[in-house]
Amino acid sequence: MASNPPLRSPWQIQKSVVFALFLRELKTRFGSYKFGYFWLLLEPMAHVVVMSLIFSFVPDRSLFGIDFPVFIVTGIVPFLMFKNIALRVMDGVEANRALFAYRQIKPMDTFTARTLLDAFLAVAVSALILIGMAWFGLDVPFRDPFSLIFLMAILVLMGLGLGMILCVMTHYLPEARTLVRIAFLPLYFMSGVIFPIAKVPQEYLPILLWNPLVHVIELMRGAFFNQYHVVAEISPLFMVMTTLALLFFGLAWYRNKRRELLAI
Amino acid sequence: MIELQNLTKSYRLSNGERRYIFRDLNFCFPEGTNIGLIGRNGAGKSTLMRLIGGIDTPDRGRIVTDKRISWPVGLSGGLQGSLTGRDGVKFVCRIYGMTRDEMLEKVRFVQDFAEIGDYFDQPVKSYSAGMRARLNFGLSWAFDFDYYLMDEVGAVGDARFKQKSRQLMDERIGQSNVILVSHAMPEIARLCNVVVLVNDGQAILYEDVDEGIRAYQETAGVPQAKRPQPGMGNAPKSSIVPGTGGQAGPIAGKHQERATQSRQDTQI
Repeated sequence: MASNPPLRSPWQIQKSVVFALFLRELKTRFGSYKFGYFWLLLEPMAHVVVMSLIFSFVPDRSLFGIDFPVFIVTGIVPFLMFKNIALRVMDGVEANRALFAYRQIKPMDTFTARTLLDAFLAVAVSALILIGMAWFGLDVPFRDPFSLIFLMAILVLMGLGLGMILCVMTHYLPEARTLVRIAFLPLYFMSGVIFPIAKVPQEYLPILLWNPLVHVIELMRGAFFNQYHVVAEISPLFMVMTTLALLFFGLAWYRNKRRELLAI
Repeated sequence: MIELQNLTKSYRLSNGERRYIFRDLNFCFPEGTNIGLIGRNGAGKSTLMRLIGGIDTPDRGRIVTDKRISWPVGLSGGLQGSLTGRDGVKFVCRIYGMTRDEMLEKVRFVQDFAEIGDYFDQPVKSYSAGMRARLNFGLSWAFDFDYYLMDEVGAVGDARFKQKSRQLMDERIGQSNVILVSHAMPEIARLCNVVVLVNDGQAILYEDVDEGIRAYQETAGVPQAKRPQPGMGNAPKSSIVPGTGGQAGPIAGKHQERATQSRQDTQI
């Protein structure tokens, strides 16, 4: 045999695998539907329209002078991103099982690729929608972009951590898949996506605050709008700690069970 | 060189019991040998192949090699129903970190080899089984490996394609090596320099292929009469080729029969 090309470093291998998977996921997700890319915008917009309609019947809907559609978008896009990352990572091993016959592809690569793809799409979608809203004369302040980037990164990691935990869990308990999907609906209503936390009655607040998503979304709104009132109980520390905990348990469980995940 | 050091692999049965495929295996395959893996169904040949290929991980021990080992030849993993054949080929090129030019070259090779025409740019789910197989074989042969992993790969497709892939395979085996899992002893005898018999929780290396085949036939309870004739497919390589077209000759036909038979075996 002719002289071998130089060996690739693990980093190079992983980089090309993640890149290849990223493109593959992107094409798979949108290639087969004519309106694939359009649907991407349609989903959050549908939430905005429906919620705007419902809340037009609510008597007290003062939002510190914030435009309601912009308010909803700043909640729904991050939430959908979180949900998509967690669910896509959960299904990452099962959906790509045939690919693991290529020795350089490992489950972690599918997790990474899927996470990156959904984060990338969420950024693109929110940019498009917000630019569109500004175009139509709504107030889109973008007060603190750096904090927003940080909070998005936190949310991405949170989704990845949860997704990995769910992936290993559903490997042993495949029936749980449906249940997990259903659980995202109540989570939607309990994460402050459609209402500001300041409007929540005091007695329910402590319960709600156990949900780390509440903290992220609330802080995002605080970083986005000039006049938004972030509740004093919101804790960046709690948010960061839960993210680290989810990531740690996700990675540890995956690492521990990675052979069983791939067993045929 | 491929060296297995203290290789142990087991799997758990549904009743919690552990079954060992082999324990503390220590082999060293010399440079440039074609390796045949034989044994009865479920003995663990394919597992051993997957271990050598780095697809599966052992319980203990390791495999040391400086060789480039392929994915199982003919594997369809890289293709996805909703994507086109071209997308699938590009995907595999990308995971091997190829540059744009290398990728285009591979795509052209697969396109020429598979001969599926316009379907190359259609979603894979619209392919027939034969077309899919053509693409997969083309994809495997497009890459240069030191070792090709072949698990029960018979010839696929119509007679002409069968000849073409056989010819290419023989050509490749001149430059590279194979690790072959097969129940077809004539094929093992024709291609391999050493065989490993996987049987009853152990694996034995036979440097003498005929001896290994004999040992296998004893474990499988096959009467000795079925001894293969060494070199049976080797010499008439040129005599197969001229017969092109529909007239494939008895050898190709027989080959197909063996292939389908062993495929059935593996599914059980």
